[in-house]
Amino acid sequence: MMKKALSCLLLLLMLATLPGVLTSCALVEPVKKLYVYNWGEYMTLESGEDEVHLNHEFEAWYEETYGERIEVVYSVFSSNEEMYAKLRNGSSKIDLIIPSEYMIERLIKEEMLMPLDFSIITAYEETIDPRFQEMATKPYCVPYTYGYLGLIYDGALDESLRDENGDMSWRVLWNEIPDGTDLTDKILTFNNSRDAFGIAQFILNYETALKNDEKPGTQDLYVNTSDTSRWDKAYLLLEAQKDSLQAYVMDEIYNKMESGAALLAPYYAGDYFTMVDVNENLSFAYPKEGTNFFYDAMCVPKSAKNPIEAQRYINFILGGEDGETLDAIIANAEWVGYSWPNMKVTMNLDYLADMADDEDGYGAEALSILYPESDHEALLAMVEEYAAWREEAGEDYDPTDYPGQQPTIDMFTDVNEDFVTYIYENLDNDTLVYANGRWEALKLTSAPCTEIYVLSGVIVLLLIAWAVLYALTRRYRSRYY
Amino acid sequence: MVIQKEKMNKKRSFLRTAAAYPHMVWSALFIVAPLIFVLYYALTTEDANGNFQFSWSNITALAGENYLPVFFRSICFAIVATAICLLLAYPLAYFLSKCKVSSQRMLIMLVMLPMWMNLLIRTYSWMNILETNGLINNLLTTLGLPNAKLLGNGAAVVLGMVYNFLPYMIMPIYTVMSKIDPRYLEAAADLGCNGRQTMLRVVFPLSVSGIISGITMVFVPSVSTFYISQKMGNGRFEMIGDTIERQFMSNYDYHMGATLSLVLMVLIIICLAVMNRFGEEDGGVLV
Repeated sequence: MMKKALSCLLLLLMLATLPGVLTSCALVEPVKKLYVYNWGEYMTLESGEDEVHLNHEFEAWYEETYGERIEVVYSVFSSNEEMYAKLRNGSSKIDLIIPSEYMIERLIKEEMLMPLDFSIITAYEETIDPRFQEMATKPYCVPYTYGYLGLIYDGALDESLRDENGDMSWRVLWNEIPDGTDLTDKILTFNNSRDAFGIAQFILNYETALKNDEKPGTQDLYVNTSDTSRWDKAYLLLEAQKDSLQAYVMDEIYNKMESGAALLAPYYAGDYFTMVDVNENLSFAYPKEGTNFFYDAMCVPKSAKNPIEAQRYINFILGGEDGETLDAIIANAEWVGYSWPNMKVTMNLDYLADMADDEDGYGAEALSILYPESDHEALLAMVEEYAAWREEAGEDYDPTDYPGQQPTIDMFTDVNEDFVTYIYENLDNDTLVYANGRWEALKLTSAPCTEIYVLSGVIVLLLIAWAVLYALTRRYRSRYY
Repeated sequence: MVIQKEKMNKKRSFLRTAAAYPHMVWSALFIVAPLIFVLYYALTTEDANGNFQFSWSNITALAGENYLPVFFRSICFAIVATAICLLLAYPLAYFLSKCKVSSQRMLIMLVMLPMWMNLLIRTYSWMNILETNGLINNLLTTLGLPNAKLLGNGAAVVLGMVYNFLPYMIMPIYTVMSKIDPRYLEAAADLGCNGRQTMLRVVFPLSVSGIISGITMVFVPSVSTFYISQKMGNGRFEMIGDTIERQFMSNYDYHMGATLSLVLMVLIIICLAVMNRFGEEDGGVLV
């Protein structure tokens, strides 16, 4: 009886709430959703005080600008390939992706990207570094960040690693240290084919140019070549490197460099700051042979359901039509720590001063590492002056009051002509197969492990001996029973 | 009455088979279908237009591309790791089965405890312990002893395998041993066996089935492991698992990856068939 009464009561309660549920459903208009797919740790999404949540900023900006509500659904990937697989199988809704340059080329080739409408991305012309505006991928993507590959090493080795001109060579990764120091077993290299081959190819390209009395970097004979004999040359170089190496690594590099287990490794400039935070003995340099230049850019896949909104998002990331969202974007740039193609960010003295700050930023070397192609010495002088002024002006300073010099675009573009960079292009299929085959051959040959072979041989022999003995004793015994 | 009972039986047997359906569907979907895919990919290649064509070229490529030494290396490492696991696990399992029931539970939990953590984390921790300036070398330095290179050699890879797969060896042997009727041992003693003879003639033959399943459970993951060798061996000892991973993750050559996996599966089946020949003679339970 009790039970019945109780269930009746419950039923009544449910019925009573039903109309409320129905009406509330009807009242809430469906909010448009924008699906953004980005690298992990690649955007500031902190919701504490003094922190910026970029997607919340976007939602507020969007409502204010377009009078419509929107919600960003943000998810992350950890490799270009992962992103590609998810996009390829088409089951998930994605409106905006931020992959790397070679993947963008591939996506363009496979016709998976939508040409962008630059009448929506109004900020593009004024904000994006002119170097990027000339790129072939321009109609399909807007760069988000960029960076370079460099050498990370133990600061104590600085003098040993530099040659008589004070330059560093990628050759040090082959244990060819100018002053003869032996770093065998202290050197790391990439455990992925493109980056590992790239380093050998920078060396070959440089040395070939010197042999032909050309200016290094004017011609790319090796990095994006489809000539298999050149890949063979790079392969031989990598094979010669094997005995000096401690390990082929990817993300283990953090552990090994931070703890000092390895002393020399190639890695991306932006990530060096993460390592130096833990191990302050580390230093960074760009080798003379030139280096890889990479960028990650925002693209809209053809399958996007909200392409217009996605392009408005891109415009937001560029600072909005009149730079109204610039503060949030600068906060994001400082948080992420890579190099930015957005000139309004890089020419902002507050940003530069924050980056070069010893305590909250990455110190004075930050500018020369993040923007090696710029006139970073002049920039640093300017920034130091500004930082001093800012200190004096106190908490409530107004940057527009600053009487000193402001950076110009010229300081960032084409100043350092000796700095050679190569972009990895998407290799054609045959070359890719060949290069992968060479990498296979390199990886398949193992370091010597004779003791393991001998031991396993002994074990197998013992096993066989035991089996024979067992069979014999069994037969012997069976005579008696 | 009788009819009713028959009906009931019929109903029950229907229910019984119905209970197996989910498992059958599961097996078909997640075991049989993927195997068919592996076979399909292994026996096809992709032409320039992305069409699949039947060919043996993947399998013939195996001999050409120096893959055989990799298979050989993987099997050697796995054999060594399995043998060490057996040597460590057998006495431990025996000791466990002889403990009080309450402490058995405790000790078994200690054996299982590391498995509650992810294999990747466990391996990464070992890297930190063995690193040139890791835990052990720091200790050696403070004691004034010279540092040793502990990471990046064959022994480190074997250590990683043994550490990660040891519980798989202990558990089946322990299970079998704890089920041995103590009266057998008493009988053996009564009939004049000394400790060594009891061990060799009674306990060991009765535990063979456990040993065989233990060996299987250690050997198979060891031979196909891909993470441990990369991290503990500093990426210098390529195992077949690493090769297969690379086909899928960076070379995008699913066909070669499938072929390598197929060959690996066949090799494992052969190894197990040989193992099971030993087991059958003793009437052991096969895995």
